[in-house]
Amino acid sequence: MSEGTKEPDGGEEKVVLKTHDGQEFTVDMATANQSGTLKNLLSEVGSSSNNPQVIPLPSSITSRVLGKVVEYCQRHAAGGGRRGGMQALEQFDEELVELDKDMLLDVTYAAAFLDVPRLLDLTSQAVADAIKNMSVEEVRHYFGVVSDFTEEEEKVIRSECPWAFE
Amino acid sequence: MPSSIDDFPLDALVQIFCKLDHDELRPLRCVSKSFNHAAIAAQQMHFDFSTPAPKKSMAFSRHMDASPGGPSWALEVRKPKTAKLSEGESRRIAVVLFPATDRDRRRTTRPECRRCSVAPGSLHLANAHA
Repeated sequence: MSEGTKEPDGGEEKVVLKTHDGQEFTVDMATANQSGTLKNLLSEVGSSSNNPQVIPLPSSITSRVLGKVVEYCQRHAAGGGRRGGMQALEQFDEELVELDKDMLLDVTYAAAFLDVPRLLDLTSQAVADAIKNMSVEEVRHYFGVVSDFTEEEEKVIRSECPWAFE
Repeated sequence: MPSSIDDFPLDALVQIFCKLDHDELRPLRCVSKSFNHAAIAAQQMHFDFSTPAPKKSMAFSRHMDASPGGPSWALEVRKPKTAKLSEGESRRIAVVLFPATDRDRRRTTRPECRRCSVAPGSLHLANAHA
């Protein structure tokens, strides 16, 4: 149920999302409109069922990540009316963000890029829960960042709130 | 793939920070420069407008006022005085000292305000400092 690759179109307007690694996701308008970025784009260029608009996506969004986003958008475009109502939808949301670290960050990035507010809410909450009780070093490790502060700069920030680092 | 968080858009990082609690934000500031920026942005757009979650370490703050050096209001709280006179009695005693209608009163107080050549705005500011 994850993606609708090369689905036969049912007369509805379709949009093709093409990832950088060449995979195509054909989605209907209701699904695409869950994303603010796509909605804006489509309202400008328009689309038709005979000749679906192909939207290329940046290399930062892989097909695996886009699959997740499309899965989310399809479920939410259908709303709570399908398969067990709002409760099932909430459970779906919960299960969706049970991802490994890299995937979670990538989906967060994709949700921010494609402007899917509720998905961004979900994933950023999951990331926030993950880093909640981490030390500075652990957070650096989690995100794979190297401190770009000079020693003095870090000292200044630490001295502003020494209690925060105990 | 944004393998490093440095490719991460600032607004997504701010979104993540907004899901944290107040005291969890500060340590993130010294992770890296982009984290520092995001934490400051999150502070300005979210944390300045939300109430910190009650913490165990603040349990005794109920007895202390918000500012430790400030006056302790608790000592000055008195029981509300109950009226010793009944309403009928007090009405019998009360006398109207300035028998002017509301409209008259407004007319007399307004020039007062103009005379003291202070703009209403600055007056308000002075009050805010007090």
